[in-house]
Amino acid sequence: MNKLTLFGLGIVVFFIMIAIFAPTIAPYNPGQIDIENILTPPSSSHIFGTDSLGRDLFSRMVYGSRISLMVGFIAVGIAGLIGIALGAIAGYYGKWLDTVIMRFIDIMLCFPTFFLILAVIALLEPSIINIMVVIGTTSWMGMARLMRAEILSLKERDFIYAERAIGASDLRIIAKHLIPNAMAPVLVSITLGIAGAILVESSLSFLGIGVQPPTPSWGNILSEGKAVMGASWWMMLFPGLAIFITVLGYNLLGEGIREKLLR
Amino acid sequence: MELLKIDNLRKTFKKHRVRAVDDVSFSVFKGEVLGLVGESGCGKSTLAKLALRLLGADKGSIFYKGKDLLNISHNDMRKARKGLQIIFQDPYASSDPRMKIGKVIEEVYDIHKNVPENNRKSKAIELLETVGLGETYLNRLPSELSGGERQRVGIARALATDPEFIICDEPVSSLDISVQAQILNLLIELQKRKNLTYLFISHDLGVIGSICDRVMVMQSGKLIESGSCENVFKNPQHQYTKTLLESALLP
Amino acid sequence: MLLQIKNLKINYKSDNRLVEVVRGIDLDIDKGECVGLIGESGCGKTTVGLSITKLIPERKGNISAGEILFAGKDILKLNSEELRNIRGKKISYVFQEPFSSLNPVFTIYEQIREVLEEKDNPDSRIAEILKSVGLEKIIGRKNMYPHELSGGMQQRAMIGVAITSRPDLLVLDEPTTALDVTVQRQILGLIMELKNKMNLAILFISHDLRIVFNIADKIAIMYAGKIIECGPKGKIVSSPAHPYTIGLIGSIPSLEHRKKVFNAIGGRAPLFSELPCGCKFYPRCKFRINKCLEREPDLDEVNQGHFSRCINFHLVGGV
Repeated sequence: MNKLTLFGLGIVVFFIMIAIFAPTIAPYNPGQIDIENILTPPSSSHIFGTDSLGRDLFSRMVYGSRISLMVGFIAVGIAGLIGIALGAIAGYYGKWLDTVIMRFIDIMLCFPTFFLILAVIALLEPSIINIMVVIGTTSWMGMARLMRAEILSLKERDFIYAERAIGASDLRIIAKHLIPNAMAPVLVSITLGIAGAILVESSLSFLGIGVQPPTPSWGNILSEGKAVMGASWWMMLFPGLAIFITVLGYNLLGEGIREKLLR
Repeated sequence: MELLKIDNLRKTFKKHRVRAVDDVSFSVFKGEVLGLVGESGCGKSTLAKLALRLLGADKGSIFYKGKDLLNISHNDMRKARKGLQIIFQDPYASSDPRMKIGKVIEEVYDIHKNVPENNRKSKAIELLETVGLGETYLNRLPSELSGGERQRVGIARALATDPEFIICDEPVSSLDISVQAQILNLLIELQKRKNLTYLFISHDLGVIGSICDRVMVMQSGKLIESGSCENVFKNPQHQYTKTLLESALLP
Repeated sequence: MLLQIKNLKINYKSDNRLVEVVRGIDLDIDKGECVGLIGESGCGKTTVGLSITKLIPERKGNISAGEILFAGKDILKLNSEELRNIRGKKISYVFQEPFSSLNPVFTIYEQIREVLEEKDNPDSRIAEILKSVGLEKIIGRKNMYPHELSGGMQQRAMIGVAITSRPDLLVLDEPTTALDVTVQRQILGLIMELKNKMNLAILFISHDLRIVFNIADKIAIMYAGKIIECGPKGKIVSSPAHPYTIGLIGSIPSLEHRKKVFNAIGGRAPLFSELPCGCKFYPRCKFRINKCLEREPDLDEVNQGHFSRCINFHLVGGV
């Protein structure tokens, strides 16, 4: 595995660990307000400094990673389920079912995704669940196409005829034999998709229609930081860096997986 | 006894606008090895897949033990598949590359429920031994096996439901000559021991002559000649058959 | 003697280790002679063919020892310019898959022209070549691409490209394996015709004994990286002197078998990383004795020009 991929993997694992062990790692309660210490720069007691309500930025960042991760994984999980299922059905059965699904994909692709998400969130209330579902239901199209393409070529292979010859049902063939063998490019899509989902959530939160305060998310911390950007540089730097590094990590990992598979 | 009877079978591929199988009719009798010989593109592999309903036929009927396979329910077809099996040409492509050999065989039992769960592993070992492999192959992946070993696994899988009729679609064409002889020996021995019936497809007349009782010659989707191997080889009637025999470099 | 391969040894990179896959080959090819090199998959025969003009890429393997004397000069010692003068010009190749050897984005005319030495008035020379390989139908059709031709015609085109420079030696590696039997017969006929007309030396590499027995003058059989039997075709066919050769001949299917069991060779060929001691064929041999394990036998003369790497050949000889 090349070094960049390992680096990406390291970043991904690092942030997953932080999210899992947040309570242990965070020195303070992320909601703990301390009026005396508003907007203090990084120091030995607050390594990332404090925000406009005196809350420890580091602890808020650590808990914020949970949001990013959760949104990333669950949103992509939803997208994956929809995309893999629809792509597999379209690829395996072909004919009118394929046409209907492909045209549906085409229609979905016409919408500029981010604006679609904005519109939906604006109509509904901006809760984490809504965000995850909306991102999930608007980003499955790429995976569906990839899965369909793989299955189109796989289903002509002898081993699929062999499975039918021994009497395997369509469900068994699709679920046990086709999808696992076709996952490779979809895996790349999933990894890169997590990065994308994290970015969308951060953007929504930054705009104020994502995760709502007081729940910390890198995006809304960044948003708070915009107001005090001049004097309190730490408020934008750390969340910005965190988003950047996480997304970089997933991208490197995804590219690395793609390299391995292309061979 | 007539085991398989094909009547006026027809299949056209719209994409290629070719009639891959053009009004083909023939019968296969119990206990015989019927050869089907032809060059690439003549339709023999398509015919094999049609006979097992792995591809949909446009017209015609396929009678297996009196029942028209094209007119029965999915469930009845699955039951029929127990008796009708197939071995493919490319041992590298005919099993799921991610499945261990033991699981490849046990899957058949899982689908047909013809062997209780606690017996499946030992039955699988028994089958593997029948084809010249053994217990050590249970946990191996196809990629760890040679072409000959993979083909033996394919044969074992075909035998898992105790079939009467096996379609062998170019089973030795991708194998080295010495391995080819081993696999042909295995097929001959199994046929005699279990009184199996084979429809044996190949482009190689030498292979056909060594294992078949009767042979049919296929060209551009049609059967142009058929008869006992002895007769067709020594007394070919059709020009194409003569050309095939001359080109075959038979010793 | 046009080509003399002496004690050729080639290593291949496998899982970051070097494995010797050609372990000392001697082969002679004379002008106008067709030498058949028989072996099953993985025995090293394609490697030998490729190595004749150093076509094995560096990252895959290297020639570790031996000489390849072509018209007296050692090819392995030539510099890249001298090598280029031989490749495609004095020694040409025809491979198994014509569709992957012919460049799909160039027309047939362009590919022949690329090899032509006479740069002026190429069309008449190209027409001559197309005629000599039976592709009269293409003469004048300068926009014909490989994918528009059938498999047999593609192979004829490949052969045409190979003989354009009037080579001395033609190396063919499984040239008819991917073709239908009837087409194969035509291509083999073409190769023989060209050999006679141009006094070509031919190295015909194949796993198919039936073909090689049909067209070769001299035959060499490879097993586990070495030649285990070689000699004039007549002698090898009528009185093979190595158990492996006998096993191969006994495995040729025909009507005569009539569902009787073949005298097949059991087991499989050894991996190059796990070669047994002594004779490499010992584990699968029906004629083996204890002495066979002591050391790998040399290629000994059975009778004039006929050699076998078996210490028991006098017991083995005769089918």
